[in-house]
Amino acid sequence: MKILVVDDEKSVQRLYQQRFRKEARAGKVELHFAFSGEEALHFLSEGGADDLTLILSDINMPKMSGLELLKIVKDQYPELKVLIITAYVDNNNRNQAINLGANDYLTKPIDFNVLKEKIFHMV
Amino acid sequence: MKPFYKEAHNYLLWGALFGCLFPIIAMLIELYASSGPVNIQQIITIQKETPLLWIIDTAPFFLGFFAFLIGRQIDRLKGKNQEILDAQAQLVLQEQMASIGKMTAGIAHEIKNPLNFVRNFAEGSTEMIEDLEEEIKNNQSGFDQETFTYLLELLGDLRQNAEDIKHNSERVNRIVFTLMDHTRGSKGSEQATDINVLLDENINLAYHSYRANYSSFNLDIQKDYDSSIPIIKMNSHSLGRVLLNILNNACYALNQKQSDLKNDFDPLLQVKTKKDRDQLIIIIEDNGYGIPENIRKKIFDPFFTTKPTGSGNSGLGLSISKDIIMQEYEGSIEVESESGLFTKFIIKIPLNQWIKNTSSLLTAEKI
Repeated sequence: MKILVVDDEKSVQRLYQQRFRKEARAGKVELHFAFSGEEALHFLSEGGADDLTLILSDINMPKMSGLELLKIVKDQYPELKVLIITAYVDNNNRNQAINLGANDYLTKPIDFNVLKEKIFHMV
Repeated sequence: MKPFYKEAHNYLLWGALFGCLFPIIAMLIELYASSGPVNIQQIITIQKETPLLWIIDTAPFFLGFFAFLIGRQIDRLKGKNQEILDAQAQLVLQEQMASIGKMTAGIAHEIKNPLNFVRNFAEGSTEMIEDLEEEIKNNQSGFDQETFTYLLELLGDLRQNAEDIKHNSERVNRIVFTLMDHTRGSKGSEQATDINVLLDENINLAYHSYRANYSSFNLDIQKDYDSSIPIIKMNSHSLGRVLLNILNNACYALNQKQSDLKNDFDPLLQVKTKKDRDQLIIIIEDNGYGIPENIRKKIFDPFFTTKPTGSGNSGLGLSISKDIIMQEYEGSIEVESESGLFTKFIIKIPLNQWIKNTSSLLTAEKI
């Protein structure tokens, strides 16, 4: 399963690689990273979208926000699943994300057991 | 009713009456002085002969009466003005609460992001330590006995460190959650709740917010928690508000007594939880100034407060608390107190509202 993680914080890459190490070694998961909404769209348009199943995106990022990215992705790649992962815990952001078509909404600090469950349940 | 002398227009009314009577009395005295005892007939004759005298006699009364009307109007305006000022103060307070809410939400977001890394790198480290341990055990023959034991010891300590880091990051997360919960004013959602932990969190919140303002405030806290209270899946937001409110009041009373008596007083807060058959009992007791008997009945009335006006206290805290306990949790809240000695709040909540739904009780599971 190919997953794209979108977050403006660089440490996210090491974090996900560590927490999905077993799944990655077993060939169950293939992780890709983008550090902004723009970079994510670029990745998708360069063929990255082809066998991609899922996008995990933050909301609060400089320039394009995760919600804007979500809107564009759902518009251009409707078959792609998007899971929003953010430190915003208010209902406003949650409702907005769900209305824009987000498949789920998780809050930081992430519980990776829950995240994995959701991911494998989703596909 | 205000005493009559509190309002300006009453002075003017009495002024007007006096203004009316004074010339008549003066005239009577003058007549008596010049021609002995006076009779009514004589006065009427004089008044008839000089019509101007009527006007001079009654003018002060009319002037006074007008002044009375104007004065009354001024008093009414003053009253209205006070209402407007009160409403304005209320708006400012609401505005402040809203901006504190927004600020807390912003701070929470900024804390939760780094907290995400702290928690998950710690958890990731635990996983890696376990793998490492396994690798070393699988290759035990490659090490001499002493090195092997030492390596396992090191890994054991490392694993403990990682777990401590994770555990403490969860503590921070809960504090942020509690803070947000209190400023957001939202309804909150159902969560596995350990009443003892909830009480602990709110004690810390109340105590430390007093410590922040009064650095000399020192408190001895005695906790007597019943560990047999089940973990309940409930909406604890409102109960947290009630506890914080009572604990804030306790800190207020203790802080006042301490600043009066200084070293002659040792502030003590006693908190107790108990499961009595199907009832949850929470007792919060302070040895502050207590509540005088004559106002003990009023403390749950809306807008009743003994705290100085302008201190930002609405007098709604306990009245809302009572509503919450009675309506939301179908329980009761009582107060016992002795003036000058102690105040004790007793909250009783029936547990069967959650026991009915057995999935709400997660005795075995930790939150």
